Amino acid sequence: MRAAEVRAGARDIAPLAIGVALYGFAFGVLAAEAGFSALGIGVMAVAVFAGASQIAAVDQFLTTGSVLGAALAGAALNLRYVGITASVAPALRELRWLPRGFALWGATDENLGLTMTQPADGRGAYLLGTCLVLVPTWAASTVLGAVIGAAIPDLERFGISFAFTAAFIAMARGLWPGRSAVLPWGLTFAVTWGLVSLGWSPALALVAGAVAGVVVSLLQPVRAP
Amino acid sequence: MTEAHWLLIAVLAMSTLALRLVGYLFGTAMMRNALAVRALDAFPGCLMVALIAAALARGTTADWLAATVALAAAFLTRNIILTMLLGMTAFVAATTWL
Repeated sequence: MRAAEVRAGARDIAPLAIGVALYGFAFGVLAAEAGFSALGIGVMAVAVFAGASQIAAVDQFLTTGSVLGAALAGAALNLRYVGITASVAPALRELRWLPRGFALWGATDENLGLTMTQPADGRGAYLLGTCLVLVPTWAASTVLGAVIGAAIPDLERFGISFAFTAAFIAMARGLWPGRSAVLPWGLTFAVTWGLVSLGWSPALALVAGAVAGVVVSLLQPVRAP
Repeated sequence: MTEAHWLLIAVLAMSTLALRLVGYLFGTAMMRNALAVRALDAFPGCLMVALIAAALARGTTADWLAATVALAAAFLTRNIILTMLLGMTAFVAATTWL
């Protein structure tokens, strides 16, 4: 393993880690509202280490109380990890088993793009460096959010119930691929909204809506990028 | 924290691990299937929109107003923390004055 690449990865991810820490702090506050203890949030941060799915799952758990629905929403969001770990799989082969497992665990949206900008030789060590910063940052910031969130009574007056929706809007903005998404995203919104209004469980309605959107996007002609 | 909370953590952790392993072990073969790649690409965005729609379908006028502000903030700043702060501020303002 090459120490220079590990250090470069740790250094380059630092600015992104600040954003992750703020986001993690906000998540910790919200998860504490949903009844998670600081210990539970720490365990979740390390065991799951997939921020958006943790938010989606806690949001669904808070609003529907269903473990299955919450886990389904979170797992659905994590389907993209198949693509993420597939992309880094060749780079990981340069690492020994233990660091390889850790880097596979810690590969996520923030460090994937960064790692792929590096020369192919040394990418595994670079990715490992980013994970050595990101995983502890996420765990520490979510636990800190939980501890401080539990100490502040009546978070509702700060608009906390809208925080998740705002986070989803911000993440959707980051995922906006251009005009090709107008129809799939519009249909997803309409189907989900319609099914929830008809009395469907939100967890089921949102999976049905998202699947409808994906099907329509697959039916669209592929345009040259 | 109840048993349900721990169960949620366990199920989410196991499903995430499974997906990471599937990508690592079989991803190279899957990525050769153009349709699978497009579906995996399209899914996260659609799911975000579905989560927003599910929240708004159960929401009040304040949620819709705050969502409009958050949408504008997201498009202008592309910053998740700023979007959350502005959206929550709009939500508090709307619930106070409506």
